[in-house]
Amino acid sequence: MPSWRAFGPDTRVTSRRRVVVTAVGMVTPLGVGVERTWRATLAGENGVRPIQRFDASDYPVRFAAEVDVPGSGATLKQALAMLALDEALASGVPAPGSRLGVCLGSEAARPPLEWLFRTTPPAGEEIAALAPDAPTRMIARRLGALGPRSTVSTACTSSSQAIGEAVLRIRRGEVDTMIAGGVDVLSEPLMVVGFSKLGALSTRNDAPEHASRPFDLHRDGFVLGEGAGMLVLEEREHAIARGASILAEVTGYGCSCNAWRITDSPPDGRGAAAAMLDAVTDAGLTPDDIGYINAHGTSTPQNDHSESQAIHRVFGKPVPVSSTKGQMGHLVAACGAVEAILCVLALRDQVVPPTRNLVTPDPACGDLDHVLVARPTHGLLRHTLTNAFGFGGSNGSLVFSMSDTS
Amino acid sequence: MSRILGIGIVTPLGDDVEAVLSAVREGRSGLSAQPALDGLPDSRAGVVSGPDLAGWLTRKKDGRLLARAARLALPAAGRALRALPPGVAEDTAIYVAVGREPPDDPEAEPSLLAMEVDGVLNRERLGGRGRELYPPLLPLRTLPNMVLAHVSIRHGLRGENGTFAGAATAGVQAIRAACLAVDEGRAPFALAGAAFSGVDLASARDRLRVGLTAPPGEAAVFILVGPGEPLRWDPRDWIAAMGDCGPVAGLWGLL
Repeated sequence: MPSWRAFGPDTRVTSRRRVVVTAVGMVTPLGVGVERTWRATLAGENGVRPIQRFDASDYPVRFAAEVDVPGSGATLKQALAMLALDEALASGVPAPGSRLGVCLGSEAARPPLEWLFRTTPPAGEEIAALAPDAPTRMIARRLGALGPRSTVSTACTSSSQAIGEAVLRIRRGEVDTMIAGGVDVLSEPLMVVGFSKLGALSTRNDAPEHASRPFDLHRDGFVLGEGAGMLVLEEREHAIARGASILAEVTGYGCSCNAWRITDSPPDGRGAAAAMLDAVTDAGLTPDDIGYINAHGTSTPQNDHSESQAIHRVFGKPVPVSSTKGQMGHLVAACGAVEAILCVLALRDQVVPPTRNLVTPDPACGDLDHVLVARPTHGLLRHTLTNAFGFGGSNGSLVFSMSDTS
Repeated sequence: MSRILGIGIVTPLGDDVEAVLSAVREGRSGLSAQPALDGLPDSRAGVVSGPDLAGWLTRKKDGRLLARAARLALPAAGRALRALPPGVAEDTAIYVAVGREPPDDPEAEPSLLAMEVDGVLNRERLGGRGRELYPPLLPLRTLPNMVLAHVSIRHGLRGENGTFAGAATAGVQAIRAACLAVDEGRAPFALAGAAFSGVDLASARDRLRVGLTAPPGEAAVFILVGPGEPLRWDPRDWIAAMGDCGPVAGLWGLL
């Protein structure tokens, strides 16, 4: 299993600059804004409903976890990114220039179906807005960010890896501040058709509120979601010098490839385990130090089984685990960022969120310590870990820790 | 510091590095008129002949899952990886840059056209007749990280990874990430590269609409880096020979 320490002198833990989270913003199917989403997540509220954006009555899957924001496609994607960014920057906008960068997880937006029958061709700006890096360009332009600018497109792992890349850039001293996060819009006709033909979606049309049920024996697929999450990441001394409020420290990042199959994960969870172990090692911790795991937990039979095996493999003992996709579905390119923010909030408020709809834990997933209702941690939660695993076998894990300046 | 151990290319001018380098120095062009692009102001494009995937697919049926960029990437990555010492593939990192895949795979067209009613789009039809015609594997071909996925699966690469999207700088970002993975001791070796195909009619039209007037091209370039002397390269203007190959363009200088 790969490890950060395996291939040379370890310069990552002892000599690197430290990275902290100083602000967050998000839009999810549970609401617009961090506090609204956090309260609903803790309460186990439901964000999955019949599709409102288009008439899906003839579709095989007629529900999704849609955001309550008008628009569709690339326009909505940009709006969600800006809403999340605005919230993250509410308490202060980073100084423009070469010490500020942007790294987002994002996928290409589909061309609107109406284009097929338009008599006038789409304008150049309309086409450019479909590119995966369109939100990244937009944010960099708005903030005058002249530092590194990257867009990571690894499906469900995109924004987890984007945060990881941003952390590495700060550690190396390339920048002092990075805007990192992700955005995606999935409740679109071609997405519903495409993913349902793959057999990846839940078909629980009669009870959409119970459709996303990670680790449950009766899970039958994931629920398309959408949203955006943005984090302001700063070098620790830089944040302290400007008197910023520090929410948490990003202490660990790990990623790996399954090299297995395009849609399946290896049953023994080896790739996911490698990413988690790398992240924990990168943080200078041991698995025993992790007090909460926000699982990728998609509610598909294969992911949840494979991930549970990976958790057993790395941790060896029950660690509180939940998947907040039970509440808000699968935000794909945005899930890594949104779930990272939930891990930050868990540390801030010393409470870990539950998995909605987990009624009968699947025995095949083993003896996990499932969080079924919000669980207070009474000041004992010091380190959290979040997972994101993508189609094609890319895995990303992040560790967040209580800041010693909090 | 990292150094280049292996290079693999698939280009309109061939897949032999020395031969392609000579051809570009001699001013030979890989562009040719493409009947599929008739009607555009310039119907030339830099199109790769083939590629022959024999030997690069684990299972023949996997070919159905490959978009054009992934078809170009598999042999290019495979050739770069020939320099990999035995027994270390599992820990090798992989960073890939991709451009935008064709917005509408030709196979999806019957499904999409089934939504027309009297010349007007009927979205609801996609749920019925359109859905029946929709290619079930299309989403798996068009996700941006599928190049990385196919290469990692074919060659058993399980190290850290990433797929960068965007314009010509994405290829350089992939190379940089790979070199840093080696330099910082996170991987013993790293494969990095880019793959792109923009020679279909829809992509060529879109390029013109965003003001890109160079003939479109397609190519894949991969390098294997390992510990050694610093990586140095000097980009040249290869667009005249190859067409604009998006994220691959930043990598021509590696040759």
